[in-house]
Amino acid sequence: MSTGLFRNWRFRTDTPAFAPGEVLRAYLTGFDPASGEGTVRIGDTVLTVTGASAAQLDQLVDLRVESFDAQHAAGRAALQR
Amino acid sequence: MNDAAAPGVAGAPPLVPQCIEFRGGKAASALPILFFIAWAIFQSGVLGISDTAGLIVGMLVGLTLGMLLVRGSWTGYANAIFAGMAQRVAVTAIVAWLWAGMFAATLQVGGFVNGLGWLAEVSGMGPAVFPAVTFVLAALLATGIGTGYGTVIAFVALFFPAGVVLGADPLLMFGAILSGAVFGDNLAPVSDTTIVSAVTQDSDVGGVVASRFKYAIIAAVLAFIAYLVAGSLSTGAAIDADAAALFSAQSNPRGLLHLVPMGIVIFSAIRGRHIIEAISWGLIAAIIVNLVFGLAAGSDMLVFRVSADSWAGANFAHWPLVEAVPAAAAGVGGSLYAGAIGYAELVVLILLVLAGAHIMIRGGGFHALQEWLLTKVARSVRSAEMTMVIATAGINAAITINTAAQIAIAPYIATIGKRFNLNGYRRANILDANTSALGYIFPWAGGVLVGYTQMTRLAQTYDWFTPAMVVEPIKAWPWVFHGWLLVAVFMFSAWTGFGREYTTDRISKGGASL
Repeated sequence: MSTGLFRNWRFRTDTPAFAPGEVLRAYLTGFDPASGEGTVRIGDTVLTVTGASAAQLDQLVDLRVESFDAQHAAGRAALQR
Repeated sequence: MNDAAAPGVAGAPPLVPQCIEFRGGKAASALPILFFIAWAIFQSGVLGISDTAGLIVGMLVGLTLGMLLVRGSWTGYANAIFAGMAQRVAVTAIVAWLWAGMFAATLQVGGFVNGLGWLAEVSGMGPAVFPAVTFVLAALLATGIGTGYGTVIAFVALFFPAGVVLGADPLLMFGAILSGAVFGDNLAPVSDTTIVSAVTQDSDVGGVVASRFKYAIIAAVLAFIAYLVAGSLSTGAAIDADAAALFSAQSNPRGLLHLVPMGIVIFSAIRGRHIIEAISWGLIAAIIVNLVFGLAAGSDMLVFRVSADSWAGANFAHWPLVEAVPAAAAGVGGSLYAGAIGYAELVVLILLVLAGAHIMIRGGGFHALQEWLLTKVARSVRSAEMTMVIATAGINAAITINTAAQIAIAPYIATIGKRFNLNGYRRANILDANTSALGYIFPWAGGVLVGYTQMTRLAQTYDWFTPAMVVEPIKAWPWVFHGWLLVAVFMFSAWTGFGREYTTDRISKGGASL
């Protein structure tokens, strides 16, 4: 009980960082039909996602991070499912 | 920061296909909800009538007027009303309310508030600390019974005159009671707003309660200090010995035994038990406490009142839980009945508000407003969270019953939050805290009006209570310290990221499935 009540007393960054190879579950927050690429925005960090579809917009998806630029809070990821 | 990459992408299909066409375009699909909001402002804000059933009629008229603007067949519009009301979120909340209502009423007939009164009395507090202690006790009661309105009514009836008798400032006393209600509405696992905030944001009740504890307790500690300081600075009033004696006569330490069932519910909910299960255990414990310790009779909790002149009256009147009454008074009663049925009007209202919101979704108005917020206002996670805080606080200006306000704004909070991958707990916490707070601050808010209504009746109860002691709703708002501080804590959290959780940190229970 106490673990739950006192969990997450911390300041979380606007731009979370991820490591290549890291597997995430997050909402697909955008999709561009022209390029066929999706976007997963986590705070102000943006991952460009390959393999997503328009039908998955606002749905939870599993991703594997392929590359990440911490300075620009941006990276690329591939859809796993 | 990636401001340029605003969430949502040009050319992406709408979340829900536009199915209903309105004369006047997508904006006209908002007519039922806007009409309801205007009705709510006029009824509760201008006329000062805090009547949930009246709002039901407002929503019904709004839905009927909206149909007149539909192009083509009205069948799709009518079907959308059904679809809106049949959403699982509504059923989940309604079922939980029914259980919570039974539990809350059973604690009340067991004299829980009288136990708190005894606690205040034996501690021997003076007028300077009475408002601060009133805040704590009101918060405790509201956290146990989950209804801020019920807490306001009980505390204005018992604690408000007690505080005034002791010489405490009436403004501070009313503000402290409203603050306690805010605390309970926000944090209690059995609170209707807690339940709504959890189910609309894909979260479990125990999880949201545990995760919002930090915001609530920070605001509460600051509010407690503020009431102590304000109490010591305020000037006292004359003490009436007879009134003090009356207050003392109502106090009863055995009422505190209800801390046990209350603790069972809170502990079970935080441990992740289903809310129906958690409240059922608490309810069973409360019934046992009432019966074993003589706090309430069985018929206080459930009674069948049969007509004394009837065959049933002649044969069953001597049975337990059966009373013979005049024919006009026949019916079912007791805390189980009153507690569950007390939510009946709110249940109907919520179903209709959801229908109105669904019409706006199917008509495209919801999508247009949402895209405007996402592309023009919420362009970074900070501005998104700040938008969520301001929107959830501001909605109470229009929809003065905080639960209804929360349900109306919940879909927007879900969408904006998900576009920044804020997890369900964070979204639920922003949603609940600010609607709970402002629901007891705006002078025309339901929570303020029920307290004011109860206060005006005190003159009929106590000879010494004069109209000058009644706190007008317009004067109460600066003194609801916990409400203001809760909003301030969330603005601070939105700006600094305190307590923020992303879906990549943790996915709320209920939101984990792909």
